[in-house]
Amino acid sequence: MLRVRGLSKRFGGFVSNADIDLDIEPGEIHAVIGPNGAGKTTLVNVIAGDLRADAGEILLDGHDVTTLPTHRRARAGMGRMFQITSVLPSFTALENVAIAAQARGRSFRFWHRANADRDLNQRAEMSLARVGLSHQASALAGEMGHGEHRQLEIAMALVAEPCLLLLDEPTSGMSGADSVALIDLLRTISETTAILLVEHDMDVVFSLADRITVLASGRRIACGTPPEVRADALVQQVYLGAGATAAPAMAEHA
Amino acid sequence: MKVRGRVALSGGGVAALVLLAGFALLPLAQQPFVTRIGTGIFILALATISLNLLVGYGGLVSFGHAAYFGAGAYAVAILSHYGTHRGWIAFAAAVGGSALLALILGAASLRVRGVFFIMITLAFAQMLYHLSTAVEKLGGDDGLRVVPNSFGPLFLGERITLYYVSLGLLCAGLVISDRLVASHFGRVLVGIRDNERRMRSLGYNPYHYRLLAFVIAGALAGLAGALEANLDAYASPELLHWSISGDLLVMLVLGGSGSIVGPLFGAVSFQLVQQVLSGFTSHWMLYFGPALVLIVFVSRRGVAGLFAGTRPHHVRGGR
Repeated sequence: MLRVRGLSKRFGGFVSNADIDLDIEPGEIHAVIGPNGAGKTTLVNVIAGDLRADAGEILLDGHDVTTLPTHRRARAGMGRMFQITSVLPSFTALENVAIAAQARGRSFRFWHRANADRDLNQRAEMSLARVGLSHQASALAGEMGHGEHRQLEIAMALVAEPCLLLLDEPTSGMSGADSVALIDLLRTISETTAILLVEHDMDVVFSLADRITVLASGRRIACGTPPEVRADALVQQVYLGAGATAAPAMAEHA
Repeated sequence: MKVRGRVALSGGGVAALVLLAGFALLPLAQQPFVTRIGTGIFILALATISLNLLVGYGGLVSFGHAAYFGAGAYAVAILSHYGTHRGWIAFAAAVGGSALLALILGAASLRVRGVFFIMITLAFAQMLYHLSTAVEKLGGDDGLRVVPNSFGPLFLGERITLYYVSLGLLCAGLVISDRLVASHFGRVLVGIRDNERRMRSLGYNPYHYRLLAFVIAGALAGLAGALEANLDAYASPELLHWSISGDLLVMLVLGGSGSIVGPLFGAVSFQLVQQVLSGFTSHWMLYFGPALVLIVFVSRRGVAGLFAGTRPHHVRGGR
C-alpha cells in the first residue's frame, strides 16, 4: 500500500530522517515508535506531503507521490489525523465531516446550500456514527472536548474512504476509557484501511500493531513484528538509554 | 438557518430588511440631494460586499480593491468614449473586465501571504492608478466623461432610475453573497480561512478556491464601478486611488466583516458619519478614527454585531 525507500529529510544541518525504508501492506497497522526527537512526526509530514523529502521516494498503491503536493496525496487516498487537534472550529461536527466528504466530489457549486446536500449529510452521519459521535452532530466543533475532537478527526478521515490512514499520536491526551474505545475503532478500521500509527503509548502500540518500525536519531534501527522488536537488543538499548518513560512499558511487554 | 423551508432571519437580517425598505421609500421625499447620496451608499455597499467575500470569508486582506472598482468605471467610460452607450454591453464589459483583471492580479498576489499579500495588492492597484493618470487616451488626470447607459427604456442618467437600479443590484449582491457563502464553494473557502493545513490534508487546493473568490469579488466590484461611472457621469483616476481601497476596508470593519449584512451597515454608517461630521469640520476623519476604534472595541463584528441574533462566532450565518 505504502512503500518508502531511502527517505531523507534535513533541516539545515540537522538530519531528521536519514535513509528510511518503510513498507505498509494493505490491512496492516504499522506503528512507528522511537524516543523523542527520533523523527517520527517529520516522517509522517514527509509522507503526507507537508514537508518535501530531500532524497528517496514514496509510492502510494504503486504510484510515485514523492513530489505531489499534500492535497493531491489526500485525493490519492491518504487520510490524516494530526498530532495536535485540527478541526474547523466554526462549523458543526456534521459540517466538518461533510466538508471532508465533499473533497472527493464537486466543490465548485455556488448557489445551493451545502447544508441541505442530503447525500453529503448522509455520508457524514454514517461516518460520525462509526466513531460514536452521532449525538454531537450539530455541536460546534470549536466547543467540543478533546476526546471528541480526536473522534471527529477520524470521522473526517474515514468519510473519504482512504486507503492509508496516517495517525500521529491518536490517543494523546485522551482518558483511559476513550482511548480503549479508540483502539477498538482503529482495529475495525484496519480491516479495510492500512494504518500508519505514530504513538508514544506502548500499550496501544503493542496491542494494535501488526508490525513496528523503530526510529532513533532519524534512522531506522529495527523493523518487525511486536515480539521481534521486543527481543531486539538495539531497541532495548535505545529505550533503556532514552530514560524511564518508555522503558518500563517496554519491559512490561517483554 | 432554514426552518421548515422558510428562511429564519437573524436580528441583523431583519434590521437590514427594514433599512432597505426605508431606502425604497426614500425618493418619495423628493430631495435630489438625498437620492444622490443614497445611490452613492448603495454603490459603496455593493463594492464592500465584494470585499467582504475576500476579507470576511476568505481571510484575504486585500488593500487594492479600488483596482476592480475603478476598472469597472473605466470600462464603461472607454466604451462611452467610443460611442457605445448600451447598458448590457457596458456593464458586461465592466464585470468581465474586472473579473479578468482580478484573475491576473489574484494569480500573482495569492502566491504570497500575510503582510506581503496586503502590500502586493496595494502595489498593483497603485500601478493602475498611476497608469490611468499617465495614459492620455484615458484622459490622464482629468479622466473620461461618461454618457450614462441605457437598458432599453431604463436610462441611468435619470437620478431616480439609477437610484432604484443601484438599490436592486445591492439587494442582488446581498442575496448572491449569502448564497455563495452557504454553498459548497463558500464553506470550502471559509474552511481554508479557518484551517488551511487541515483543508489541504482533506484534498483541497487552497489556491484554486482563493483565486476563484478573487475573480467573483472582482466581478462584483466591477459592477459597482460601472454604477459609479453612471452616477458621476465620469471616470477619473480618483476611483483607482488607494484611499478608495482604504475606505472600503473601513466600511467593512465598521459594518462587520464576515457578516452578510455588515457591508450594508458599514456603507450607511460611514456615509452618514461623513455627511454629518464634514458639515462641522473638514478634519472629520480626526473624529471618525477614534469612533471607529470604539465601535470595534464594543463589537468585534462591527455594527452588524450589535444586533442580537447575529451569531458572532458563527460567521457564515450572520445575515
